[in-house]
Amino acid sequence: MKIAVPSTGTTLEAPVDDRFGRAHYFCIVTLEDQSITGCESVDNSDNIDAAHGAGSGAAELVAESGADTLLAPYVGPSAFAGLDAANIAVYPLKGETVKDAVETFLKESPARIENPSGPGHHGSL
Amino acid sequence: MKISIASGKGGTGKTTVAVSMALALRNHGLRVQLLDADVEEPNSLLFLDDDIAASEDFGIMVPTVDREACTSCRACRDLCAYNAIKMLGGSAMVFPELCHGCGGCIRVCPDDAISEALRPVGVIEGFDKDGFVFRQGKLNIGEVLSTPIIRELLHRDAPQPVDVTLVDASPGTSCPVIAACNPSDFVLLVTEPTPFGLNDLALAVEMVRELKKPCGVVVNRAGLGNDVVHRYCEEQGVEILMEIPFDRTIAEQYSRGTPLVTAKPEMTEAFVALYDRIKVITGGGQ
Repeated sequence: MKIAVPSTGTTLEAPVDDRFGRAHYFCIVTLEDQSITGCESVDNSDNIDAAHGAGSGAAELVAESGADTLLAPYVGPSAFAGLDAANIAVYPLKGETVKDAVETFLKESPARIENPSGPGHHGSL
Repeated sequence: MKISIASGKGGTGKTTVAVSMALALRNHGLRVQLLDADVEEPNSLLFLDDDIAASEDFGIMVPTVDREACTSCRACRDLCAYNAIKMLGGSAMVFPELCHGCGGCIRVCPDDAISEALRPVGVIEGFDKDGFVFRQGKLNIGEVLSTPIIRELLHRDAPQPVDVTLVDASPGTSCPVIAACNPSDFVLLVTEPTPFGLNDLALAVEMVRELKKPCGVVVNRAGLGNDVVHRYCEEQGVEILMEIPFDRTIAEQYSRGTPLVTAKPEMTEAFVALYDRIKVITGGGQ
Protein backbone atom coordinates (compact mmCIF):
# COMPACT_ATOMS: atom_id res chain seq x y z
CA MET A 1 0.00 0.00 0.00
CA LYS A 2 1.26 3.47 -0.88
CA ILE A 3 -0.24 6.49 0.82
CA ALA A 4 0.22 10.04 -0.50
CA VAL A 5 0.24 12.79 2.12
CA PRO A 6 0.39 16.51 1.21
CA SER A 7 3.32 17.94 3.13
CA THR A 8 5.45 21.02 3.55
CA GLY A 9 8.66 18.96 3.52
CA THR A 10 10.12 15.75 2.15
CA THR A 11 10.37 13.47 5.20
CA LEU A 12 8.07 11.58 7.58
CA GLU A 13 8.72 14.29 10.19
CA ALA A 14 7.61 17.11 7.86
CA PRO A 15 4.42 18.98 8.83
CA VAL A 16 1.44 18.13 6.64
CA ASP A 17 0.21 20.75 4.15
CA ASP A 18 -3.39 21.80 4.60
CA ARG A 19 -3.94 22.14 0.86
CA PHE A 20 -4.12 19.41 -1.74
CA GLY A 21 -3.74 21.04 -5.18
CA ARG A 22 -1.16 23.54 -4.03
CA ALA A 23 0.62 21.43 -1.42
CA HIS A 24 4.40 21.90 -1.42
CA TYR A 25 5.19 18.19 -1.66
CA PHE A 26 3.55 14.82 -1.51
CA CYS A 27 5.18 12.28 0.74
CA ILE A 28 4.57 8.82 -0.67
CA VAL A 29 4.65 6.50 2.30
CA THR A 30 5.02 2.74 1.73
CA LEU A 31 3.24 0.43 4.14
CA GLU A 32 3.74 -3.27 4.61
CA ASP A 33 1.63 -5.13 7.16
CA GLN A 34 0.42 -1.84 8.65
CA SER A 35 3.92 -0.51 9.28
CA ILE A 36 5.85 2.19 7.51
CA THR A 37 8.71 0.79 5.44
CA GLY A 38 9.60 3.75 3.27
CA CYS A 39 8.96 7.39 2.40
CA GLU A 40 9.70 9.16 -0.86
CA SER A 41 8.61 12.62 -1.85
CA VAL A 42 7.45 14.30 -5.05
CA ASP A 43 7.75 18.03 -5.64
CA ASN A 44 4.44 19.77 -6.43
CA SER A 45 5.92 23.17 -7.31
CA ASP A 46 4.59 23.11 -10.90
CA ASN A 47 1.06 23.03 -9.53
CA ILE A 48 1.68 25.60 -6.80
CA ASP A 49 2.53 28.11 -9.50
CA ALA A 50 -0.15 27.08 -12.00
CA ALA A 51 -2.78 29.71 -12.72
CA HIS A 52 -5.40 27.00 -13.25
CA GLY A 53 -5.69 23.27 -12.84
CA ALA A 54 -3.65 22.80 -9.66
CA GLY A 55 -6.07 20.18 -8.31
CA SER A 56 -6.13 18.02 -11.43
CA GLY A 57 -2.36 18.47 -11.80
CA ALA A 58 -1.77 17.31 -8.24
CA ALA A 59 -4.06 14.33 -8.86
CA GLU A 60 -1.93 13.43 -11.88
CA LEU A 61 1.28 13.75 -9.86
CA VAL A 62 -0.08 11.54 -7.10
CA ALA A 63 -1.27 8.97 -9.65
CA GLU A 64 2.16 8.92 -11.31
CA SER A 65 3.83 8.37 -7.94
CA GLY A 66 2.15 4.99 -7.74
CA ALA A 67 0.12 5.85 -4.64
CA ASP A 68 -3.21 4.05 -4.27
CA THR A 69 -4.42 6.10 -1.32
CA LEU A 70 -4.47 9.82 -0.54
CA LEU A 71 -4.97 11.58 2.76
CA ALA A 72 -6.26 15.09 2.07
CA PRO A 73 -7.99 17.91 3.90
CA TYR A 74 -10.01 19.19 0.96
CA VAL A 75 -10.39 17.83 -2.55
CA GLY A 76 -12.34 19.87 -5.09
CA PRO A 77 -14.41 18.44 -7.94
CA SER A 78 -11.72 18.45 -10.65
CA ALA A 79 -9.13 16.85 -8.43
CA PHE A 80 -11.66 14.36 -7.16
CA ALA A 81 -12.68 13.33 -10.67
CA GLY A 82 -9.02 12.83 -11.57
CA LEU A 83 -8.26 10.79 -8.47
CA ASP A 84 -11.35 8.72 -9.10
CA ALA A 85 -10.28 8.01 -12.69
CA ALA A 86 -6.88 6.89 -11.37
CA ASN A 87 -8.53 4.65 -8.74
CA ILE A 88 -6.97 6.48 -5.83
CA ALA A 89 -8.96 6.23 -2.60
CA VAL A 90 -9.25 9.47 -0.63
CA TYR A 91 -9.44 9.61 3.17
CA PRO A 92 -9.49 12.56 5.57
CA LEU A 93 -6.15 13.94 6.72
CA LYS A 94 -5.59 14.18 10.47
CA GLY A 95 -2.26 14.78 12.19
CA GLU A 96 0.59 17.25 12.56
CA THR A 97 3.29 15.44 10.60
CA VAL A 98 3.28 13.00 7.73
CA LYS A 99 4.03 10.16 10.14
CA ASP A 100 1.27 11.28 12.52
CA ALA A 101 -1.18 11.41 9.64
CA VAL A 102 -0.39 7.91 8.44
CA GLU A 103 -0.46 6.45 11.97
CA THR A 104 -3.76 8.19 12.74
CA PHE A 105 -5.19 6.83 9.50
CA LEU A 106 -4.10 3.28 10.43
CA LYS A 107 -5.42 3.58 13.97
CA GLU A 108 -8.78 5.19 13.21
CA SER A 109 -9.58 3.58 9.81
CA PRO A 110 -11.76 6.55 8.79
CA ALA A 111 -14.51 6.23 6.19
CA ARG A 112 -13.45 6.78 2.59
CA ILE A 113 -14.38 10.19 1.13
CA GLU A 114 -16.85 9.51 -1.68
CA ASN A 115 -17.52 13.03 -2.95
CA PRO A 116 -15.64 16.29 -3.59
CA SER A 117 -15.32 18.44 -0.48
CA GLY A 118 -16.75 21.59 -2.02
CA PRO A 119 -17.56 23.52 -5.16
CA GLY A 120 -13.92 23.89 -6.16
CA HIS A 121 -12.03 27.05 -6.84
CA HIS A 122 -10.62 26.68 -10.30
CA GLY A 123 -9.42 29.98 -11.64
CA SER A 124 -8.44 31.47 -8.30
CA LEU A 125 -5.16 31.22 -6.46
CA MET B 1 -16.81 53.32 -35.30
CA LYS B 2 -16.44 51.07 -32.30
CA ILE B 3 -15.79 52.50 -28.83
CA SER B 4 -15.11 50.40 -25.73
CA ILE B 5 -15.93 51.78 -22.31
CA ALA B 6 -13.53 50.37 -19.72
CA SER B 7 -12.02 51.21 -16.36
CA GLY B 8 -9.45 49.66 -14.11
CA LYS B 9 -11.65 50.06 -11.08
CA GLY B 10 -15.11 48.59 -10.67
CA GLY B 11 -18.05 50.82 -9.88
CA THR B 12 -16.71 53.94 -11.57
CA GLY B 13 -19.62 54.33 -13.97
CA LYS B 14 -18.84 52.34 -17.13
CA THR B 15 -22.43 51.26 -17.54
CA THR B 16 -23.72 54.75 -16.75
CA VAL B 17 -21.51 56.16 -19.51
CA ALA B 18 -22.14 53.35 -22.02
CA VAL B 19 -25.93 53.43 -21.68
CA SER B 20 -26.19 57.21 -21.59
CA MET B 21 -23.88 57.67 -24.53
CA ALA B 22 -25.89 55.10 -26.48
CA LEU B 23 -29.19 56.79 -25.69
CA ALA B 24 -27.81 60.28 -26.30
CA LEU B 25 -26.42 59.34 -29.71
CA ARG B 26 -29.64 57.55 -30.67
CA ASN B 27 -31.65 60.62 -29.65
CA HIS B 28 -29.24 62.65 -31.75
CA GLY B 29 -30.22 60.58 -34.79
CA LEU B 30 -27.36 58.09 -34.98
CA ARG B 31 -27.86 54.35 -35.43
CA VAL B 32 -26.38 52.77 -32.34
CA GLN B 33 -25.40 49.30 -31.19
CA LEU B 34 -24.76 48.75 -27.48
CA LEU B 35 -22.90 45.59 -26.46
CA ASP B 36 -22.72 44.60 -22.81
CA ALA B 37 -19.47 42.62 -22.63
CA ASP B 38 -19.39 42.35 -18.85
CA VAL B 39 -20.48 38.76 -19.34
CA GLU B 40 -20.15 37.70 -15.72
CA GLU B 41 -22.69 40.27 -14.63
CA PRO B 42 -24.17 42.24 -17.51
CA ASN B 43 -26.31 45.08 -16.17
CA SER B 44 -26.83 47.61 -18.98
CA LEU B 45 -30.27 46.13 -19.62
CA LEU B 46 -31.44 47.34 -16.20
CA PHE B 47 -31.29 50.88 -17.57
CA LEU B 48 -33.06 50.19 -20.87
CA ASP B 49 -36.81 50.16 -21.42
CA ASP B 50 -36.86 47.09 -23.62
CA ASP B 51 -36.54 43.44 -22.71
CA ILE B 52 -34.60 40.60 -24.28
CA ALA B 53 -36.40 39.54 -27.44
CA ALA B 54 -34.16 36.70 -28.56
CA SER B 55 -31.54 34.57 -26.91
CA GLU B 56 -29.20 31.92 -28.30
CA ASP B 57 -26.81 29.52 -26.68
CA PHE B 58 -23.13 30.06 -27.13
CA GLY B 59 -20.63 27.26 -26.66
CA ILE B 60 -17.01 26.43 -27.25
CA MET B 61 -15.62 23.29 -28.82
CA VAL B 62 -13.89 21.18 -26.20
CA PRO B 63 -12.06 17.88 -26.69
CA THR B 64 -13.32 14.48 -25.70
CA VAL B 65 -10.88 11.59 -25.49
CA ASP B 66 -11.51 8.08 -26.77
CA ARG B 67 -9.86 6.29 -23.86
CA GLU B 68 -9.44 3.08 -25.84
CA ALA B 69 -7.61 4.81 -28.68
CA CYS B 70 -5.40 6.95 -26.41
CA THR B 71 -1.85 5.61 -26.07
CA SER B 72 -0.91 7.98 -23.22
CA CYS B 73 1.77 9.66 -25.31
CA ARG B 74 1.19 12.93 -23.41
CA ALA B 75 1.41 15.11 -26.54
CA CYS B 76 -1.94 16.78 -25.88
CA ARG B 77 -1.24 17.12 -22.18
CA ASP B 78 2.12 18.79 -22.78
CA LEU B 79 0.71 21.12 -25.43
CA CYS B 80 -2.21 22.45 -23.39
CA ALA B 81 -1.28 25.86 -21.96
CA TYR B 82 -4.30 25.88 -19.65
CA ASN B 83 -3.70 22.61 -17.78
CA ALA B 84 -6.97 21.26 -19.12
CA ILE B 85 -5.60 17.80 -19.93
CA LYS B 86 -3.96 15.42 -17.47
CA MET B 87 -2.91 11.78 -17.69
CA LEU B 88 -5.13 9.85 -15.32
CA GLY B 89 -6.34 6.29 -15.19
CA GLY B 90 -4.25 5.18 -18.16
CA SER B 91 -5.31 7.80 -20.69
CA ALA B 92 -5.65 11.52 -21.25
CA MET B 93 -8.45 13.11 -19.24
CA VAL B 94 -10.00 16.46 -20.14
CA PHE B 95 -11.04 19.06 -17.55
CA PRO B 96 -13.46 21.00 -19.78
CA GLU B 97 -13.94 23.99 -17.49
CA LEU B 98 -10.28 24.91 -18.03
CA CYS B 99 -10.33 24.43 -21.83
CA HIS B 100 -10.13 27.52 -24.03
CA GLY B 101 -11.27 25.57 -27.08
CA CYS B 102 -8.13 26.14 -29.19
CA GLY B 103 -8.26 22.67 -30.75
CA GLY B 104 -4.47 22.21 -30.48
CA CYS B 105 -4.77 18.86 -28.70
CA ILE B 106 -6.67 17.40 -31.65
CA ARG B 107 -3.96 18.44 -34.06
CA VAL B 108 -1.08 16.99 -32.03
CA CYS B 109 -2.76 13.66 -31.19
CA PRO B 110 -0.98 10.98 -33.28
CA ASP B 111 -3.71 8.41 -32.58
CA ASP B 112 -6.83 10.32 -33.62
CA ALA B 113 -8.11 9.72 -30.12
CA ILE B 114 -9.52 13.22 -29.62
CA SER B 115 -12.66 14.70 -31.11
CA GLU B 116 -14.54 17.87 -30.35
CA ALA B 117 -17.93 18.46 -28.83
CA LEU B 118 -19.78 21.71 -28.25
CA ARG B 119 -19.98 22.71 -24.61
CA PRO B 120 -22.46 25.53 -23.89
CA VAL B 121 -20.88 28.25 -21.73
CA GLY B 122 -23.41 31.05 -21.98
CA VAL B 123 -25.92 32.95 -24.09
CA ILE B 124 -25.85 35.90 -26.45
CA GLU B 125 -29.13 37.78 -26.35
CA GLY B 126 -30.70 41.14 -26.94
CA PHE B 127 -33.25 43.14 -28.90
CA ASP B 128 -33.38 45.15 -32.11
CA LYS B 129 -35.25 48.43 -32.45
CA ASP B 130 -35.24 50.79 -35.35
CA GLY B 131 -31.78 52.38 -35.12
CA PHE B 132 -30.91 50.74 -31.81
CA VAL B 133 -29.41 47.31 -31.28
CA PHE B 134 -28.68 45.81 -27.88
CA ARG B 135 -26.74 42.61 -27.27
CA GLN B 136 -25.30 41.13 -24.12
CA GLY B 137 -23.18 38.10 -23.46
CA LYS B 138 -24.08 36.20 -20.33
CA LEU B 139 -21.86 33.47 -18.97
CA ASN B 140 -23.58 30.47 -17.41
CA ILE B 141 -23.28 30.27 -13.63
CA GLY B 142 -20.16 28.37 -12.62
CA GLU B 143 -18.30 29.04 -15.87
CA VAL B 144 -14.95 30.78 -15.51
CA LEU B 145 -13.89 31.29 -19.11
CA SER B 146 -15.34 34.57 -20.33
CA THR B 147 -13.15 35.54 -23.29
CA PRO B 148 -14.65 33.35 -26.06
CA ILE B 149 -18.16 34.71 -25.56
CA ILE B 150 -16.83 38.29 -25.43
CA ARG B 151 -14.89 37.76 -28.64
CA GLU B 152 -18.00 36.33 -30.32
CA LEU B 153 -20.15 39.22 -29.11
CA LEU B 154 -17.75 41.78 -30.57
CA HIS B 155 -16.98 39.82 -33.71
CA ARG B 156 -20.54 39.54 -34.98
CA ASP B 157 -21.84 42.01 -37.53
CA ALA B 158 -24.66 44.17 -36.27
CA PRO B 159 -28.04 42.87 -37.54
CA GLN B 160 -28.74 46.26 -39.12
CA PRO B 161 -26.41 49.04 -40.28
CA VAL B 162 -25.16 51.12 -37.36
CA ASP B 163 -23.07 54.28 -37.14
CA VAL B 164 -21.48 53.48 -33.82
CA THR B 165 -21.00 50.46 -31.57
CA LEU B 166 -20.45 51.01 -27.86
CA VAL B 167 -18.99 48.21 -25.75
CA ASP B 168 -19.53 48.10 -22.00
CA ALA B 169 -16.49 46.16 -20.73
CA SER B 170 -15.93 44.49 -17.38
CA PRO B 171 -13.70 46.17 -14.79
CA GLY B 172 -10.02 45.37 -14.44
CA THR B 173 -7.23 45.00 -16.98
CA SER B 174 -7.16 41.25 -17.58
CA CYS B 175 -8.15 39.02 -20.52
CA PRO B 176 -11.91 39.78 -20.58
CA VAL B 177 -11.22 43.52 -20.73
CA ILE B 178 -8.60 43.09 -23.43
CA ALA B 179 -11.07 40.96 -25.42
CA ALA B 180 -13.65 43.76 -25.06
CA CYS B 181 -11.22 46.53 -26.09
CA ASN B 182 -9.07 44.91 -28.76
CA PRO B 183 -11.53 45.17 -31.67
CA SER B 184 -12.38 48.81 -30.94
CA ASP B 185 -11.16 52.05 -32.51
CA PHE B 186 -11.09 53.88 -29.20
CA VAL B 187 -11.14 53.09 -25.48
CA LEU B 188 -12.97 55.41 -23.13
CA LEU B 189 -11.71 55.01 -19.57
CA VAL B 190 -14.12 55.92 -16.79
CA THR B 191 -12.62 56.80 -13.44
CA GLU B 192 -13.33 58.75 -10.29
CA PRO B 193 -11.07 61.45 -8.85
CA THR B 194 -9.77 59.49 -5.88
CA PRO B 195 -6.49 57.68 -5.16
CA PHE B 196 -8.32 54.38 -5.78
CA GLY B 197 -9.59 55.64 -9.10
CA LEU B 198 -6.13 56.86 -10.06
CA ASN B 199 -4.39 53.61 -9.14
CA ASP B 200 -6.64 51.57 -11.39
CA LEU B 201 -6.84 54.20 -14.12
CA ALA B 202 -3.05 54.10 -14.44
CA LEU B 203 -3.20 50.31 -14.89
CA ALA B 204 -5.94 50.72 -17.51
CA VAL B 205 -3.92 53.37 -19.41
CA GLU B 206 -0.94 51.00 -19.48
CA MET B 207 -3.17 48.24 -20.83
CA VAL B 208 -4.59 50.48 -23.57
CA ARG B 209 -1.08 51.60 -24.56
CA GLU B 210 -0.07 47.97 -24.78
CA LEU B 211 -2.99 47.47 -27.19
CA LYS B 212 -1.90 50.60 -29.11
CA LYS B 213 -5.37 52.12 -28.95
CA PRO B 214 -6.18 55.79 -28.57
CA CYS B 215 -7.90 56.52 -25.28
CA GLY B 216 -9.46 59.30 -23.26
CA VAL B 217 -10.88 59.68 -19.80
CA VAL B 218 -14.31 60.38 -18.35
CA VAL B 219 -14.10 61.60 -14.76
CA ASN B 220 -17.24 60.50 -12.95
CA ARG B 221 -18.26 61.94 -9.58
CA ALA B 222 -16.20 65.02 -10.38
CA GLY B 223 -15.91 67.15 -7.25
CA LEU B 224 -15.39 64.15 -5.00
CA GLY B 225 -11.89 63.36 -3.78
CA ASN B 226 -8.92 65.38 -4.99
CA ASP B 227 -7.00 66.38 -8.12
CA VAL B 228 -4.75 63.32 -8.42
CA VAL B 229 -6.51 62.03 -11.55
CA HIS B 230 -6.33 65.42 -13.27
CA ARG B 231 -2.63 65.74 -12.46
CA TYR B 232 -1.97 62.23 -13.72
CA CYS B 233 -3.81 62.84 -16.99
CA GLU B 234 -1.91 66.06 -17.57
CA GLU B 235 1.45 64.42 -16.90
CA GLN B 236 0.64 61.44 -19.11
CA GLY B 237 -0.93 63.41 -21.92
CA VAL B 238 -4.24 61.59 -21.54
CA GLU B 239 -7.17 63.81 -22.47
CA ILE B 240 -10.05 64.23 -20.06
CA LEU B 241 -13.00 64.23 -22.44
CA MET B 242 -15.88 64.65 -20.03
CA GLU B 243 -16.70 65.15 -16.39
CA ILE B 244 -19.88 63.97 -14.71
CA PRO B 245 -20.59 65.87 -11.51
CA PHE B 246 -20.82 64.22 -8.09
CA ASP B 247 -24.52 64.77 -7.67
CA ARG B 248 -26.93 63.04 -5.32
CA THR B 249 -29.83 63.14 -7.78
CA ILE B 250 -27.77 61.17 -10.33
CA ALA B 251 -27.15 58.46 -7.73
CA GLU B 252 -30.81 58.38 -6.69
CA GLN B 253 -32.00 58.06 -10.28
CA TYR B 254 -29.36 55.42 -10.95
CA SER B 255 -30.64 53.37 -8.03
CA ARG B 256 -34.07 53.37 -9.71
CA GLY B 257 -32.62 52.23 -13.01
CA THR B 258 -32.97 55.62 -14.70
CA PRO B 259 -30.17 56.36 -17.17
CA LEU B 260 -28.14 59.51 -16.58
CA VAL B 261 -29.34 61.21 -19.78
CA THR B 262 -32.95 60.56 -18.81
CA ALA B 263 -32.42 61.93 -15.31
CA LYS B 264 -30.40 64.86 -16.67
CA PRO B 265 -31.44 65.47 -20.28
CA GLU B 266 -29.10 68.45 -20.40
CA MET B 267 -26.19 65.94 -20.38
CA THR B 268 -27.23 64.69 -23.85
CA GLU B 269 -25.24 67.39 -25.58
CA ALA B 270 -22.17 66.54 -23.54
CA PHE B 271 -22.32 62.92 -24.72
CA VAL B 272 -22.76 64.03 -28.33
CA ALA B 273 -19.77 66.35 -27.91
CA LEU B 274 -17.82 63.45 -26.40
CA TYR B 275 -18.56 61.35 -29.46
CA ASP B 276 -17.61 64.19 -31.82
CA ARG B 277 -14.30 64.60 -30.03
CA ILE B 278 -13.59 60.86 -30.24
CA LYS B 279 -14.30 61.01 -33.98
CA VAL B 280 -11.73 63.77 -34.34
CA ILE B 281 -9.13 61.87 -32.27
CA THR B 282 -9.58 58.67 -34.27
CA GLY B 283 -9.86 60.40 -37.62
CA GLY B 284 -13.46 59.34 -38.06
CA GLY B 285 -13.28 55.71 -37.01
CA GLN B 286 -13.36 53.22 -39.84
